[in-house]
Amino acid sequence: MARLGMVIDLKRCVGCNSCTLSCKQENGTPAGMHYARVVTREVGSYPQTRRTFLPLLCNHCEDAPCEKACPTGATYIREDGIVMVAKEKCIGCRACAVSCPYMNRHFIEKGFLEHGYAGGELSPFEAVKFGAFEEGTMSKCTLCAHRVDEGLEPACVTTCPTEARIFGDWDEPEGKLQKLVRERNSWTLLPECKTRPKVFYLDA
Amino acid sequence: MPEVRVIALGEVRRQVGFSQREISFEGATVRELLRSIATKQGGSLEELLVCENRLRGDYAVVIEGLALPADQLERRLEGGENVVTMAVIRHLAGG
Amino acid sequence: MAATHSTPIAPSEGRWIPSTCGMCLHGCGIKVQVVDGVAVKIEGDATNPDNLGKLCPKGNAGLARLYDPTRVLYPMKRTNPEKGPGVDPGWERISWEEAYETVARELGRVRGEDARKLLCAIGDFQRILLWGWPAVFGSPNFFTSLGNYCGGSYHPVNGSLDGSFAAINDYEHCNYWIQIGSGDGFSSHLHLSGSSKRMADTRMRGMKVISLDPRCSIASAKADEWIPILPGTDRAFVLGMAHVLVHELRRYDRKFLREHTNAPYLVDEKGFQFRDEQGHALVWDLAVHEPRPWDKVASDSMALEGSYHYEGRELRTGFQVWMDLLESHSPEKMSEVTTVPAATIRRIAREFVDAAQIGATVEIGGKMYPYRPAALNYYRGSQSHANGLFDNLTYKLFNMLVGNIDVPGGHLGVPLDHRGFFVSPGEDGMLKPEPHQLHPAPPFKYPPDSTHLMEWFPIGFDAGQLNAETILNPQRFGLEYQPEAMMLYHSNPWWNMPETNKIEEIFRRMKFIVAIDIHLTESTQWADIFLPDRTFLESTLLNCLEPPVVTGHSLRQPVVKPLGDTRDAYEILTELAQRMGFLDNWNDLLNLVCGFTAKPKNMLDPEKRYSAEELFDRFARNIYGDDHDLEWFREHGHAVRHRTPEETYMPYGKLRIPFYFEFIKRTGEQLRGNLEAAGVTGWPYENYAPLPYWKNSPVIEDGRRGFDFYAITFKEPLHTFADTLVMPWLSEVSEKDPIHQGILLNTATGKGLGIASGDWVRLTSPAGSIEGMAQCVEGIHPQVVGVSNAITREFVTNSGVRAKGSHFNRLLKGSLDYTDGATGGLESSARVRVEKIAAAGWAH
Repeated sequence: MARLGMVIDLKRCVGCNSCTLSCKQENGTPAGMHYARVVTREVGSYPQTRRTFLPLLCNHCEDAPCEKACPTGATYIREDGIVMVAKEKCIGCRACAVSCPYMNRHFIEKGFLEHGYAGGELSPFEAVKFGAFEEGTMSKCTLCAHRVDEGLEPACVTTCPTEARIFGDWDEPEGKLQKLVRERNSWTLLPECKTRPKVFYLDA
Repeated sequence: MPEVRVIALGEVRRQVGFSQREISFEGATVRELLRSIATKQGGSLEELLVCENRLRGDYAVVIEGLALPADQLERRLEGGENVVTMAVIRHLAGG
Repeated sequence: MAATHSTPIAPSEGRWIPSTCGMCLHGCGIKVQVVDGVAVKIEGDATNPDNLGKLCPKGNAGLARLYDPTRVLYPMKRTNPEKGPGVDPGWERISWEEAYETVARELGRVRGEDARKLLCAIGDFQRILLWGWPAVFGSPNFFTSLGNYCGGSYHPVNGSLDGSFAAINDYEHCNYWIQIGSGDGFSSHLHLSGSSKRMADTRMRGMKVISLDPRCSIASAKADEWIPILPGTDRAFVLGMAHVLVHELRRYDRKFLREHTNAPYLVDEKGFQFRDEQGHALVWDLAVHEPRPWDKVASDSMALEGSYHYEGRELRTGFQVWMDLLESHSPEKMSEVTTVPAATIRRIAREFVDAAQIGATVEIGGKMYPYRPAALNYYRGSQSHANGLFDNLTYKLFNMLVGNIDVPGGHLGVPLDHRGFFVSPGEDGMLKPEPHQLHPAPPFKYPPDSTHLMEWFPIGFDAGQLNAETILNPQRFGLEYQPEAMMLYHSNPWWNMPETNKIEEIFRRMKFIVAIDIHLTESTQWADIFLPDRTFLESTLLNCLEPPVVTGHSLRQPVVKPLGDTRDAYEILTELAQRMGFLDNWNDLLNLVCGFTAKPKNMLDPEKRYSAEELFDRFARNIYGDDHDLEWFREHGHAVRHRTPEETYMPYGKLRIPFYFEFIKRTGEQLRGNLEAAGVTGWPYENYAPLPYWKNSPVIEDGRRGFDFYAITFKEPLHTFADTLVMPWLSEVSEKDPIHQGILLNTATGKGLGIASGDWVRLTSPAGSIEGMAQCVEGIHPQVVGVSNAITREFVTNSGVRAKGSHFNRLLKGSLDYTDGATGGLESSARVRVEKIAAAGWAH
């Protein structure tokens, strides 16, 4: 048992999108689809202006509305807390996508996997990686379960130049995650949705 | 008679007919070394590289990695030193 | 072809091959996962102390370059003789034999007539060893403008100061970091991945960052304080701070200036070093009250300040000369120039000198050093201007005031490569200035050989932007010939040079153009023959460029079988050299630039052909010894290690560094003599000055001609130069960020002009005009418009990427009056008029 999750240190993050691109190559997602991404926003009026960078990924909620909404059990939570989709069980009803307040569900439309990034034939890379998807089913961030299962961190964490994404197990009282939220002011996205995210943010 | 390794690049190589060679020469200075090396034109490397007691501006002599100042042809050479002779490449553009 | 996987590919599948990233020039260590012959993942190499396993977004997009469906994979010839933007070249695949034969014939003909008629644009930084090919061909011409956008004035000043090539503040020890017009540690410049990590760690331990920038850049967004400033006026801000330190607070590191610089050396009425009859530079000896040779006086007896009457002469110390210059640079005055309040200039100056801890020392590795944990770091935006030399000198001198040059906590030189700092004794106990590190300065010549007038820039860089000025006005500069052929090798001069219309005219005049590249660009679509190169994942080299903190080479090696029928650019250039009969001289050039002449057993036989693998095997053994051959690198990936404290701190040792840059003044006088003797008039000598001061730039003057706004361009971590803008993986992400969605205008400014986000606008500068969609933001100075480089491409082949047409470089002037006369650095900002239009012409 474990409760795998992440702390994202917004003070460290510089909004470079290495996570976005690392996820792109790790998971080989089709054009326009990003499990990991960064939302950049401008706050304050000139000259007291700032830009904020908010890295996003599936929150792997403990109370995951997507899991509850799924009529077939395709969406499930692994013992280590990773929220997954079993694509062979998914009927593409998209109830999960509607239920996810974070818009972290990505539907593989019909035809999505027929063309490569530039609209033409699949590149050798895409030919290999697109096999993990199935048209007409839902896909999502797996917290790189295939890496975690081999003892590695998710791709977005490994690559992060500023080490803003910190991966760990919430069940370890003295682990990195618990320590960071004890030391710093932390929060989750949309707490009012009561999803109990396992991704926490530290103040910039 | 010090023995030095002479390396000839580009146009100088074409003139002296070798790329690198161990050379023992009469004397001790750079000038004397250059004098001891014959060129295809029938003269010596000294005649090609030296003008009015100075190394001509379009040639370089580099000894053990350091360019020889044009007025120091009387610098004495130690046995085993590495002497590179070449026409200056005027334009290595970039940047 | 690899089998399709129905589940994600596990990291344990296939094999991981160590290599070097080629998505920018710096070359982070990477490892590439290859499964059944297909590259499926690139990660940072955690064993490489440079990037520590991290990788920036560009590096993470490397596979999209390798497998880009629009790559050119076969040699091609153009069948449509008509050329121009939007004209279909009618590409037709040909054999390598036909391609080589054609290129060797066409270029061989030019070489037979006058080799100078070839214009060369080479922009492949990691293959810097190949940059001498045009010189061996016989052409002096550098027809591109890339390094000199940022480094034109920067590199010569770094080289003259301490034999470095670039600079960065000390991540490990700095506590107060002023960042001016630079993305170091946040978004760009030196080794971004590792630098971002070091900057984040440094900020987390409490270092304060102040960022000056016309735009709320990433550095500004993350800094403790963002100070918006007008473009090209950063120097005025720093001169104002120097005024505060010198005239108001009177706090500066007298010990450092006396012991480690020539600030106490006496200067005569004409600005030259005051010397005795034997030529020794003199200082004012406070013990005997008269001038004495610098090496006969103890440092603490040297006067740092003061004017002295001596035997009818008026003498001042170099330091006093700058003090006198600074008198007129009060914060109030500099505030008018910069729009930054005088109180802010004063406050930052005080915070800086407080943080610098003048007088403190620290022991590192058993050695005592001055400890100055405050430093000013700067790059492109703050000094790529028509007075770039003065900009650079100002920032260096400001750092020098607190004695922080190359000491722990301070402003550290970054060497060009593994050779480290270029340190050798010069005159008067000083370090020998090394303004040129990429190549020796060509001696003066009239008429000039080169179309970019390199012979007239004895301390400058290759001012590529001057090509248009000289080629289109040959009589003004005495240019004796007209270029008629062009070689484009990983360079896009049509895009990167100022005044595109003039550059296009030069393209039109070419009788033959050959391109060596991996894809079609604004420039390469003009080619007659296209020779396809291999990507960084299919080729071999050893790389070490501008590494802060570390040193040593990292190996690039093929991770997959090359796609299509491509050749390594080294092999292409070597084949062409052989066909045109100069293989021997080409090998000799490589013998020289690879350093083989120092270890003759490694020298290439002039008559033999060598593969890239053979070349780099020798290169590796030449530097690291025979046990470190290419095979060793293939296994280990790199020989990168941390630089030692001795290699990092005070590389100048007991040699003094320049405070008073007399050699610049002397060089200018020599050039004046040469040019006047040649009858050349109107050359800008003014910047050959030993000390910097404020004067208006031509851009500021343009404001008087009705060009109300300043225009700047900028880039953020998703992109490098123009190269990555056509990659869908990267462009689809940058397109989501509002700052890359249009021409940035301050919201209040937009309101005043009746312009809102989404409206179309035209920017018109003295050089040209561009159109685009307005994007109103708060994070930009109200007098400035900003154009992200992400929206500047006019020609793309990738259907996943839109050409966005706001080609910033069209706004820039490339002429001599917008060029720093001493360094050749170009002006990278412009004054513009902003007007609302119905829709951009290119938008239809």
